[in-house]
Parts: sequence; C-alpha cells; structure tokens
Amino acid sequence: MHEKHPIKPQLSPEQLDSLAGELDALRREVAESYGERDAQHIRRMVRRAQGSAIAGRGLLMFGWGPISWIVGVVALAHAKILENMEIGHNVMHGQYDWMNDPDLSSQNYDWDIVCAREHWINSHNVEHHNYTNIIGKDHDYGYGMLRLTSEQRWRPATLLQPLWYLLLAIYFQWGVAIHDIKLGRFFKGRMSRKELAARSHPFLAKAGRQLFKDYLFFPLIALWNWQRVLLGNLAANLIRNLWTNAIIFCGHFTGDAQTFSRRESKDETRGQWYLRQIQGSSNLQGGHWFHVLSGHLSHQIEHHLFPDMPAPRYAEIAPRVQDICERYGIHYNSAGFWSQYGSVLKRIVIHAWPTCSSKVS
Amino acid sequence: MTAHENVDSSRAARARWLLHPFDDAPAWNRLLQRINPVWSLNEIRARLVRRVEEDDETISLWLQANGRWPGHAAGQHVALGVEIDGVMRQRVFTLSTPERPDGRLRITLRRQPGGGVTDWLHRNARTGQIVTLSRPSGNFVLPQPWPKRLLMLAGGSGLTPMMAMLGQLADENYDGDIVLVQLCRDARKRLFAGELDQLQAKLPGLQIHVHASSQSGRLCASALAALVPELAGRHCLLCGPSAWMAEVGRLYKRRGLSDRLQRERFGAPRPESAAGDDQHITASRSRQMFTQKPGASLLESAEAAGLTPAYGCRAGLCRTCLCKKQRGTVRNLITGLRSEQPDEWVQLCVSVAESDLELSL
Repeated sequence: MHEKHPIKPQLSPEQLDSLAGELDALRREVAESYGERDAQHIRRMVRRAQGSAIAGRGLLMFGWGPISWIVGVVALAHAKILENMEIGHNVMHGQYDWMNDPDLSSQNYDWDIVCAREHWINSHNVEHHNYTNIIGKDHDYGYGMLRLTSEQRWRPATLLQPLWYLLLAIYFQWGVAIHDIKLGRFFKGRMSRKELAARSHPFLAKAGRQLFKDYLFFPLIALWNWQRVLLGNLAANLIRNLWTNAIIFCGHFTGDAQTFSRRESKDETRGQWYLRQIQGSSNLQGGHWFHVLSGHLSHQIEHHLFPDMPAPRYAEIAPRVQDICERYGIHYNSAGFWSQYGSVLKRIVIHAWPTCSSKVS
Repeated sequence: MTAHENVDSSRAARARWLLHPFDDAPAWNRLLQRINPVWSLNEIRARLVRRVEEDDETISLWLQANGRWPGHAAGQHVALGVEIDGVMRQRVFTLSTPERPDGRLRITLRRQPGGGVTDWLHRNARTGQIVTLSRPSGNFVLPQPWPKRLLMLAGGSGLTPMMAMLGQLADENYDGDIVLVQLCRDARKRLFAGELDQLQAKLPGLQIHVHASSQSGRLCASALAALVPELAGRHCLLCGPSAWMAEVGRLYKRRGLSDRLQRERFGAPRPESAAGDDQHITASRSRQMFTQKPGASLLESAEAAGLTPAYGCRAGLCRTCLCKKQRGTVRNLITGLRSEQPDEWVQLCVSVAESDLELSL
C-alpha cells in the first residue's frame, strides 16, 4: 500500500495573482446571471424534500407490512438527505440570499438535524472554509478524532481509529452537532464549566427538539404503529448519517487531498488561498441525481472556491475550473465515488499506525 | 418590550416547542398554496383581479387580499412584493381607495423606467397574478374628528392618498367644505378625471382646482395663497414632488400655520454629507469591514462593500433590512432618533453610522 502525493506546484507570485484574477472573473460572470432558474431549482428541491418526507412519514405511520416500511424509510431518508445537503447546507452558506426570500435566507434557515445552526455556521462557514486542511486550524480535519496524515500526532488509541471512524459514521449527526462545543478544550482544562454550559445550550435545545420529534412525537401520534415509526425514524436517520458522512469524508480526506501547515498558510494572498482550496478538496464524478443527493458536495473544489454560489452552478463551471487548473499545472482531484471513498478508508487504516512524515518532506 | 409581552412570547415559545414538527409555517404555506395560491398562515397575499390603464404612463391595479388583510385607513400605504427574475422585491405604494365592502384594494402607479418594481408591474402585471402585501402603515390619514374645512394639495401621483380619503368622505356623506388643488402637466390628461367627477356629485362641498403646469407654469406659494380662500381656516393635506412640498411648507411656516399642515413624504430622506471622518463598520457575521460612505445609508454602504443584506422598501417602512447593531451609535434619518445602546435593532436603509459600529451582518 502506498499513497500518491502529487507535488504541490510552485507558482510564482505573478502566476498566483493571475490565477486569482481568473477565478474572481469567473465568479463575477456567474454571479451576474443568478436568476429565475436558480430560484426554481431550490424551490423544486424544497417541494421534493417536503413531498418525500410526507410520503415517508405517512407510509411509516399508516402502512403495514415490511415493504411499506422499507419504502417509507427510504423516502424519509431521501427527504432528510435532500434537506440537509442540497437545501440546508447550501442555504446556510448564503447561496440563495440574493433571492431576498426570508424562508431561504442564511440568517433564518434552520435544518432538520441535531446540529444547531449557529454552531455549524461557526465551525463550518467560518473555520473550515477559511482554514481548509490547515492542520491545527481546520477543526474539521479528522474531527478531532481521526489521524489522516502523518503530520498529526499519533497516540496508542489511534490504533483503534477504524473503529472510532465506524462509530462516527453511524452517529455522524451527533458528531457534527457537538463538534463546535469543543469538548476537547474542556477536558484539557482550557474551558470553564460555565463556558461549557453556555456553549452547549444551542446544541441541547436543538437536540431536544429533534429527539422529541423523531422518537416521541411521531411515534406517539402513530398510536399502535409506534414501533414501526420509531424504528423507521431511527433507520432513516442512520441512512442519512452514513451517506452524508461518506460524501463529506470524500471532500477533503481522499488520498490526493493535500494538508497544509500553519507556517505555509500564514499571510496568504488570495491566489494562495484559492490554490489551497483546490489542493485540499476533491470531487466525485456521477450523474445529476448523485450530485443533487450529495448537495453538490461532489463538486467540493468548486464549492470551496465559491461557497456562496448556487450549487447547481458548480456542475456548469467545473469544466472551466478544470481547464484553469490544467493551465497552471494544479492537480484537479476528481474520480468516482468508490475510488475516492476507498482512498479515504485506506488513509484511516494507514494512519492508525505510527506513520512518519518523511514521505511528504 | 413590556413584561406582559415577554410572558406571552415565552408561553407561545413553549407551545411552539410542543407542536414543533407542525409549526413550520413555510411548509404549511406551500401545501395550502397548492390548493389556493393566496392562502397563507402568516403572509398577506393578494390576487390581481383587474388592471386599468389610467393614462399612457399610469396604471391602477385592483387586488383581492386574503383574510389576513387587517383593513386600512384611507391615505395609508402598503409594501407590495413581487418576484422578479428569482429575486423578491418590494416597493411601497399608496392605496388609492378607501376600505370597500367587496374588500378590493387599488394601487395606482406611474411608470418609472429603470428596471424597478414599478416598471416591472407596468410591463408584466396581469390579472390572476399573486403578490404579497405588508400590513398597511402611515400616518397620512384624515384627522379625527373630521375638520369642517379641508384643503388637499396633490401634485402628480400625490393624488393617490387623496383619492382614498375623498372616497371615504363620500361614502360617509361628509358635508364639510373641501378644496382640492390638483397639479398636473396637462389638464386634458389629468389623473382620475372621471372618478373625480363622480366624487364631486357625491360631495356637495368639494371644489376642484386643476393647475396644469404646461399651460399656467409652476404654482408658486403666493399664487396658491391667492387661489385658496380661507387658507388659515383649513386643515391642509399635502402630497407631491418634494421641492414643491418644501415650498408650501415654508409658506405655512411664514404664516405661523405649520400645525395646520399634514404632509406625506415618499422615499427616504437623504443624509446630509458627513462632516467628519468615514466611520468604520465591522460586519461580524461575514467578518468584513467596510466604511460608511458620505451621503449613503448603512444599507448602501454595505452593498458597496459587496455584502448583500436583505432589504425590502429601502425607505424605512418594511423593516426587512432590520439588523442587530452590537455596538456603536446609529442615527435613524427618518425619526432622527439615535441608537446608542448595544444590541439594538436598526433599519439599515434609513440609518447612518455616527461612530464606528459592529453590525450582525
């Protein structure tokens, strides 16, 4: 087993400036054409997610027999995936703020997941998107649990990380939800009990609402069908967790995705920032439905260059971004789902062992 | 907020929590609007039932609102919202009818080229279309009890609130004395000529003076004083071009009659150009800094810096652009009030910074 390490291209400051200029121009060009069809797309997704949720919950509640249960679970999981990925994530990035619609505004939207919106906006939009793949600054890199590069410290417990990863994938929404509380700081004694309580409050409130909804309210109103509904909701949440986890791990932890040190990324120019976003991200190839169900995170590179561009535009600009990368000699990391996800799993297994960083340097 | 309101809202919050999955108003609205597009749990929506060409440049739109319309006083205005190329846009229009038994509302609008809402409505308004409405607002209404003698000074489309008031007076058999001075460019093309004739028949005390600037030039303040008998004894309602309104205002001030004058202003007053330094404003959510441009509102300054705050009327009415100011001093140009305390809500479109600020943008 070996890892590929495409060399980080050495671009001159002039080349970096011209790279930034090209990408800025591309963004401006696309931004001028935001309009009707983007609005129609997101509204169609909202209707689709709602219809799917009603169908799924209806089948779980009023259906009988295993087939209607399975169809109900799939429909509800589909609704949750669509809502979390293509609607929630993208709306909370402000991709549709220009529509001036309060229901699709990043300032108001709250998604159907235990993670509180204010936590996610801080850990994701602010930290992860600015400090992408900078070890020690991007807290999404390994989620504080996984060692994915030899630059990260190895501990004996790291040997068990394939198991930790399995647990994280199963309980992914909870992992994402408590991520921004930054429990690690509390355990190291760097956070007071009072601060911990304050930081946990949005999470506890949101988690309470979500648990109430899926495991108390809907089972109760299903009366004698309560077990079907309870298990169905559990299964739908599990499917959503496994799927979103797989897609999200393919975004930055594939074999070819680069990491950066704090030193490397100090006083970055805009060109260097763009370059790091491309090198730290990886794309997945697939059909239209696959892109939609991944919330267009299958175009992670385009998303990291332009996080607030309406997501369906990523597929349209991808060939142009790829062409720019080719001209500057930047590796455009794109492959099928299984090949990329396989390389993520490989990385989790390899770095469970005390690998040393000689290969990189 | 009073203590009483606090108790109410926390009770409401608790009830909402219990109903949590079913308290999603936008989701219910989507379902309701499949049955009838004007239905809504929380929005005032209206169907366009008739379009009338008043003259080459002016149209009237008749609207039938849903049950959430609270009724209005003659002379009040409303923010009308339409979606133009995916963007929800609003503009404030005066209602040109009083409350009617059939519940229909009318707005009258003169074409203003330049791609705004008015221009769009001129080109695209068709019966059957759905628009959103704000609650009616404005203090430009007849004083209670009704004065025995009235003077209405209407310049151009400033006639619209007067039409609503005259309609109300006619409906309720007002027998007092009214002088209406209608300023227009061309007497043959004056607005609402036919309707004013009908009103004249119902209001025995109504005298109408038409002043056409193409024939008789501008109506200066002294000519006005000569035209209107017993100026001092009349309650005056004034609405029209701002320069002319200012001139009439000076006439009333000179004669010590300012308390007799009631004015309607359209649009936000312009800030006087700032004497001091540009103020530095921190947008805390988007982590950006920008400066207050002399003569521009906070909304315009933020937009000039590339931010996209939500906005509606841009005239201080609809409160769409309401934003939490975390620190600093802001002056509201309409009310002249200063907001100096931290964490107060400010209306970006009509506010200017008087110190460095931090805004939750």
